[in-house]
Amino acid sequence: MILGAAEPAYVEMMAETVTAGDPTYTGPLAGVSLGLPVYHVTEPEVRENADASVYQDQIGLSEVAMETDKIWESIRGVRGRMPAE
Amino acid sequence: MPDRTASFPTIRAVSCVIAHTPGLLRYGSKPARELAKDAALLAKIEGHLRSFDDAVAYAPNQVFIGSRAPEWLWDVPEPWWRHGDAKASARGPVGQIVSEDAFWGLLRMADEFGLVDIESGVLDRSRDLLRSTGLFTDAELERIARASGTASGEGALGLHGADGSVVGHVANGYPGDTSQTADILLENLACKASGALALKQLLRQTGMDARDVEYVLGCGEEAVGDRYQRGGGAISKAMAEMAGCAQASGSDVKAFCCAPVHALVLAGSLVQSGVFKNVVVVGGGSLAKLGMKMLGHLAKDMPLLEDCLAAVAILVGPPDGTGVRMRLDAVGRHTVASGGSAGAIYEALVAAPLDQLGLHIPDVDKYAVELHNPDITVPAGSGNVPRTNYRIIAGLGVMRGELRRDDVDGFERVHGVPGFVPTQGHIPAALPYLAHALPRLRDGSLRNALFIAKGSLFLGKMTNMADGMSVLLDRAD
Repeated sequence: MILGAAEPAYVEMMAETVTAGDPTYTGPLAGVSLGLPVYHVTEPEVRENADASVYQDQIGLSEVAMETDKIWESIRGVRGRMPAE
Repeated sequence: MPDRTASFPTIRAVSCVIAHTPGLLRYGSKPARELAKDAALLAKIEGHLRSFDDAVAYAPNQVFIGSRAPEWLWDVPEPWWRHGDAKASARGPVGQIVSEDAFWGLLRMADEFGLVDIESGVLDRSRDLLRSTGLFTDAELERIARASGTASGEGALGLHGADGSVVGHVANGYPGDTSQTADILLENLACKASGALALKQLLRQTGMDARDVEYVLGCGEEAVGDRYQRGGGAISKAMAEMAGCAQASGSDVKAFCCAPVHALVLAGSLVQSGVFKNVVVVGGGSLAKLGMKMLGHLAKDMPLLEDCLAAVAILVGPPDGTGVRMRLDAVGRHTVASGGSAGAIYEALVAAPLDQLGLHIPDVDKYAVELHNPDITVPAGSGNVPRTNYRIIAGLGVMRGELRRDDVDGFERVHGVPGFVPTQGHIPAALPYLAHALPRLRDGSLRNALFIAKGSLFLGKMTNMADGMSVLLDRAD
């Protein structure tokens, strides 16, 4: 699962939703643990696998606007809490 | 060549009104769908509704009606709903907040077909409350009479107060017409009633004769119609009639959430071209959006803040000596070819119009974006909408070499305002900031402001595109 949201707290909530289950208990994934591997589109794992010019065209501006340090910290935290396969 | 800039239209006045309607919250789209699955949820909803006093004291609502500047919210502790404004009043410089008891009367006043039946005791109270707003004549208030009693027939919908008690009914429209069921007619009437209230407020603020309004452009969410034409339109003219604008015609502009800026530009164009002198852009409230983030709010055991119908009205006219101009020579528009990435959208709506005027991103004092109230959206997991927009505009400035990367974090505080508008669909789309920008543009404390709105056309399933439009207001000097 690749996320693109811009706010660290929102990214963390979405990441939790598709791993441990919806933390807000408001949607269909409340209490449903999908355990999907989850990354943010700006993380190197995704970015380095994308065509550079397409990435720049589609994501370039959003990335400049994002607090990527905080986003990566949030999403890596969620991944770290996932049980090992 | 004649100097086009000398005839740029101006904004003459802005009104912003709220009807606090907790009893109608159950008929918002999200609550209605959830209640259909689980009727027991109603008790929980009713247990999380706000009082009228709380809705009046709610800090963002005080900003909406112009009693406080948007920037004041930065000093109000979060969550805002816990920190009511001790100086709050239901009346502000550009609008007012009316109670549901008053709104029942407006709903009845908006009803030309005997669709809404409300108990006479409730209507008597409504009439008194509406009289005290100072917006309605005795003849208009006399129209708040009880309907013929036909509204409780087959398919009728009960109207409830916040405590759950039944106060009346809304009837089905034409039998078998799925675009005129009681719930849809209630949405349309709520939009008409709140929009007409904004129009009335605008007329009082300007002191102008209602008959001087020549054209009304609707920019709200509802697309009234019938089975052959679901989006038939011209709720604008219905609002004009209700507000006494006897010499006005009108039509509606539909473009999802960027309709208000489209409408503003069209209004300005009608004025500058000389077709009409006084054009009003009006957006009524959206009943469907009441309680939209309800589940997130209930999960956090907070009050259901989406209990307000919000409406705006803006008078556009020829130059009036204040020096405030709508720059129709640099309207930003998202085209079919623009593309859907954030970069493409902001290039079209921000960079392109500024380039046309020879301006850089920091040259614009204030940007008005989608001003959704984050006190409502953040707890429900939808993020801080204006903040995200401001970061992207700042990011564009970085990419254009007009800002440093370090400027992105602070851009919102300097060139933005916090979201203060109820999550009423089209209503948060930039225009409510006009009420705050206009006096500052007039006194020179603001040099210019760019109004930007985006619309999710893809929601209608006819295209994958988004849309957007922007327009700059500045001072002639």
